[in-house]
Order: sequence, then C-alpha cells, then structure tokens
Amino acid sequence: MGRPDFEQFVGESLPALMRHAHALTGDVHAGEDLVQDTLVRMADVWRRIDREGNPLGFARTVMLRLYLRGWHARRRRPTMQPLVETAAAGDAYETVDVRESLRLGLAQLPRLQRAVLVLGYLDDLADEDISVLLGRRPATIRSLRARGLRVLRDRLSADITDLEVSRDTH
Amino acid sequence: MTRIEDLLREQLRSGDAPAGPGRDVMLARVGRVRRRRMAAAGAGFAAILAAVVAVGLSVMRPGPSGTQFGSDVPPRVYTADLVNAVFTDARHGYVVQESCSTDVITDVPDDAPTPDVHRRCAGQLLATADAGQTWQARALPGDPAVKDAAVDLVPGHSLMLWVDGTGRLALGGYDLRYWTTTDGGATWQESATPRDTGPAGSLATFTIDDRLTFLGPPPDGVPLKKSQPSPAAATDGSFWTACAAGPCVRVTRDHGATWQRKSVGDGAASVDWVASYNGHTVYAAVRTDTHAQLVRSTDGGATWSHVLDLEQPSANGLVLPDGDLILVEASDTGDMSRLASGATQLHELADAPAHPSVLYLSGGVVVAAPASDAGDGPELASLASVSTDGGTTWIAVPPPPA
Repeated sequence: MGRPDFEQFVGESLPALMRHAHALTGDVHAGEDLVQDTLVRMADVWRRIDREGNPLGFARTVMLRLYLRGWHARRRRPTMQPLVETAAAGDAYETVDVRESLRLGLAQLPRLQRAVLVLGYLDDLADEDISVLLGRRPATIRSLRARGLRVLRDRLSADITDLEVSRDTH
Repeated sequence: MTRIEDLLREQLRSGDAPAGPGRDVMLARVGRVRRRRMAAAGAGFAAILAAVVAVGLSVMRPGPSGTQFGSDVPPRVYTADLVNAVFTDARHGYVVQESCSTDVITDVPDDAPTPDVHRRCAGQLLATADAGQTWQARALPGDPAVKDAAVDLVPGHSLMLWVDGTGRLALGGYDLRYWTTTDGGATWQESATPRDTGPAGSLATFTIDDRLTFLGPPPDGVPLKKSQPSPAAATDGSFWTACAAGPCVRVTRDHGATWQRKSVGDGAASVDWVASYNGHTVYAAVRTDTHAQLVRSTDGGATWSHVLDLEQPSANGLVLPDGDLILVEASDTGDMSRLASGATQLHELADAPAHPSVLYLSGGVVVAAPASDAGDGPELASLASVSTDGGTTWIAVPPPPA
C-alpha cells in the first residue's frame, strides 16, 4: 500500500487535528486557523515528511510549536462569548454547567499551562514525555499542571457550588 | 485520580469537538495561503533561488560522518521570535530577537524509550545608528527572558528591552536579573538589585517613551482584551484599552488608580482596539451587529463620531505624532492603510509588511512585526520592519541567525 498523498492525509487526519487544535485554542475558528497554518507548513515540506513517515506526529509537533510560539488567529470573525449563567443546585443542567465552567477555566490559562493539560489529558502523555516535548524540566511540567488544575478547580468550585470537587492531588 | 482530572479528561475527549471545514475547504484554504505567499515572495525570487541553490549544495555535500541531509539527520522545527524593538531617537534603534531549533519526534515505536529532544536557542541584539539602514550585532550580556519573566509578556513587544528611569537601555534576563548600557549596547553593567515587577496585581506596560510603568488594573477583573494585549500609552500620560466586553473603552490618567469607562456611542457592539497619541484625539475600531467601523473622539473620549465603515474588521491601529492613523486589516492579507488626520478615506500602504500582529511606535519610528515565524528550515523570514516616515516606506530588520 502506497503512502498517502497530502490531500489524502488531510482528509484522514483533519478530525484529529481539529480536535487537537480546538483543545489548544478553545475556539472553533482559532482552531481552524491553527490547523490551516499547520497544514501550510506541512505542504511546503510534504515530500520530506512523507519520506520520513508519521505525518500526524509531525503535524501535532508543528501545531504545538506554532501555538506556543506566539501564534495568533487571524481574527477574521468576531469572537462570540456565550452567556454564563449559574445553575440552581442539583438541577438537570449541572453537567452542562460543569463543562461550560471547565471551558471558561481552560480559556483563562496561559498557553503553556493549557498545552500541558491538553498533552496530559487528551494525549495521555506522562509528565516526563511532556517535559521532553516542551523542553522543560519534569518538575516544571508538574508545577504547570498543578497550577492549571488549581485554576480549574477554583473555577468549578466557584461556579458549581454543590459539586464535589476534590482537592486531593496525587 | 482526582475528580477534576476525570472531568478534564472527559471534557477534552468529549464528542463535541467541532466538525470544522471539510477536506476540500481546508485544502482550498491552504492552497490560497500558499499561492498568496508565493506571489508575495515573487519580488525576491532571484535572491531566494540563489540562496536555495547555495543551501542545497551545502546540505547535499556529505558531512564529516558521511551523512546526508534527509537520511539520518533528525528533522527540526525552526522558530524565530521578536522580543522587542526600541528606538531611543529616530536614528538609534535596538532589536532583540531569539531563534530556536527543536528536534521533531517522528515514528517512535511503542516499546522504544522516549527519544531525547534537543532544543537550542540563541538571543540576538541588533543595533542601528542610521534609522535602520544598517544593523550591527552586539553581544548580549545574558539571555533575554522570554517566558516566566514575572511580568506579562506581549510577543513582539515584551518588557524585556526598555529604557530605565535614567534613560539607559535595559535588558531583562531570567530570575529578574537585568543589565543596562550607556554606550548603545557595546558594554553592559548588571544591576545589583532585581528588576522591579511592580505591586502585586499591577499591570506592567510601556509608557510612550518605552519606559516601564505599572498601572492599577481596570476594575472589571478582565483588564485587557485579547485583540489589544497592551494598553495604548499617550503623551499626556493617559493609557487606553478596549473594554473586554461591550461598546466602550477604558482610560486612566492616574496610572490605574482609577479607570474611566467611555462609551463609544450607540450602535456599536464591541471595540477591537483603541489608540491615541496625545490622549485628546482618540480612534477606536468598533463592530456593530453587521459591520466594522472606525470612530473618533476629539475630546478625550467624551464624545465619538463615525469616521468611516471598514470593509474588514481591524486588527490593530496606531496614531502617529502628526495625528495620522495606521490601521491593520484583520484579514488573510493583513493589509495596512493610513488615514490622514481629519480625513475620511484610507490610503493603502503598499510597501508595508503584511499581517503584522504587533504595531507600535518607538522613538518616532513605527515598528510592525508578525512577532514570530516558524518553519522546517533555518532560513526564516525577517520578523520586524521599521518605518521612519509614518508607514510609507519600510526597512526589514535582518532575521535572527539560525
């Protein structure tokens, strides 16, 4: 079976790349822009990527670098901010509110903290692997992860008053 | 495993990731960007061709170990970032940039040990004494802090290169170290005390003359809008920022002790940016429910009037000392235009760099930059461009060395 051409790669990997970009940026349109910029760079060197294999790994690395190194969405469209409402205790929409609180909490985080959480909880990478990928010490990664989780925990505690949010850490 | 981690994992993996554009739409977008980029590069094609040929010949030549590029040399990602540009007057300028190269991990078997990822970074200081016509590399006393710097950093316009209270050029490093120079960067003296990071909760930013100052944050808890990451400083000591939500701007005239909220008028839904040079004449790019507009106040923000409708929302704006305004279009092309003081018609700045994400004034010189660049080869594009004539002509600052 031959190697996929660039068009085939885009078709097959677009959902995965969109999920990754959306997790990093927290915004649909910014995620699209990030995927687009990643693919533009890949298209430039596709023959080499194709020769060396693992284009999806290459794409994720390029995307992460772009995101962490000052990348900005092109802001073609106005940013829509959803209404934020607090649910009554124990109501049927509590799960929805938890998700919304988490989304807003993630949006508050600095890029590096957010990247650490995405790599850890979307890609299931260990702190040591993340430290290699980001060029930071494992202790720094643990610190970034703990700070990010603390922000999310505080956000949830404030928004969802009766939700049990454990403060245990491991 | 804690509850918060379970919730986060569930959130990130939930099925509500956006479908996004389909394959054909995304390919069309990628193709459009590449065609536009190739067209922009057309003018310099001969020079690039010569460089490519030279690089190609050098990398195809076997190295000391007999290897060739593309065989067993690991692929790398190259990035370049502008830290800041400071002009102490119209002729003397300083630019700090950083370039990094990082291994790209490809094709690691599941049972293989995690490979080492090598990352190399180098900072660079360039100085000009002829308004950017020529640049000389100067030795940096230490690496400029580009992260974890104890103050908020804005890519391309970071508080790591500034003018200190006595007028000396200062460079900030890690662990709050900083150095100053009185001879244009030829020699540096390290400060005996750590750099000032201001009162807790304060907002560090530049004054109009590139000095560091600390403002009290606006009272709404969301001090700065993403589309305007730094307050705009004016010569009267005021600082301006777009409201994070709603059709208003905020101004402080007492270093953030109090912030006044100024509505930009009926019909607007939000403000993308606000800019002023003297604190009296103020421009704002606003959005209504249907389109984008430019509005102006000539009484310090008390009242506003419509100037013109914009074909595209504006990403950035800068008021020049003569009262003219430079705007950057928030579009794929990121075109730059100039509005003469009091005029209602834009004039495109044909020679301006495309798509700058930062635009600011330093020592009367306009600085525009995409803030960063990345690619799979060490030859990255120039980051910063400077203009000494209000945006009519531009000079590209040399990119940082690979």
